[in-house]
Amino acid sequence: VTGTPANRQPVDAGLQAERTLLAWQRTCLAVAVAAAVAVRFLVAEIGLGAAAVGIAALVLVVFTWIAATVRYRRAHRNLSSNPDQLGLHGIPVAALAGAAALIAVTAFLLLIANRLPR
Amino acid sequence: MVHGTVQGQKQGAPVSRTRFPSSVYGHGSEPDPRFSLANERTFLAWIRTSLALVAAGVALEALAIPIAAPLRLAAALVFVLLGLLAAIRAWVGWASTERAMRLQQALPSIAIGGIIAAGVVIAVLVIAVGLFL
Repeated sequence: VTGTPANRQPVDAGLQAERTLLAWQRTCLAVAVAAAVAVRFLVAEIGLGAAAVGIAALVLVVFTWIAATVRYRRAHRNLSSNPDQLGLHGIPVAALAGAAALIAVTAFLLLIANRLPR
Repeated sequence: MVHGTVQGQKQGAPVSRTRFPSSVYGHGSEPDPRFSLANERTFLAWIRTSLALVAAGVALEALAIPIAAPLRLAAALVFVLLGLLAAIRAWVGWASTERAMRLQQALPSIAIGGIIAAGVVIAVLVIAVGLFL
C-alpha cells in the first residue's frame, strides 16, 4: 500500500506488524512440533485416548496460526485507516499460551508416570 | 506513529469491552502500536522459552542421559515445571504489560524471572552432582 502523494507514510513503518506475524508463525511451528511429539509419545506409551490431550494442543496451535494471520490483516487494515490504531485482541495469545501449558502438563505427567519412550 | 505514545493518546480508541480479554482492553486507551506489537513478540519469546525448558526436561529422560536416575528425574521435573511456569508467565506478563501500557503506568516487573533463573541453576547443579554419583 503506497498511499496518495499527500500521504506517503508507510502503513507499517519498520515492518513491526510483519515481523510480529513471522514471530507468531515460527512460534506456532515450534509448538506444533512439540504437540506432535506429545501425541506420538502418548499413543506409544499410554494409548489413543490419552492422545486427546496432545491433539487438543495441536488444534489450539492450528487455531492460533489462523487467528494470528487473520489478525495481521486486521492490524494492517486498522493501521491503514489510522496509524495509531492497532485494535487487536488477545484470543491467539490465550490459545497459544494454553497449548504451551498443555504440552508442559503432558510432559510432567509422562515424567512422573515414567512413561517416556526410551 | 512517529511521536509514539503522545500521539497515540490523542487519537487512541475509547475504552472497549468487546475485545478479549476485557481485563486488558476494558481499561485506558490504545498505546503506540509498536509497543503492543513488541509486547506480543515478548509473549512469543516466552512461549519458545517454555518449549525449550520442557524439551530439556523430556530429553534428559527420553535420551536416558547417563547420570544417577533419581537426580536425573529430579532435574527433568524442575525443567518441565519451569516450562509450565514460563507458559503461565507468558500470558500473565502479556496481559499485565498491555494493561499497564493502556493505563500509561510503569511496566510490571519480570516477576518470576528470578525463579526461572534459580531453577535452571539448581537443575544444572543436580545434573552435575549426578555425573559423579
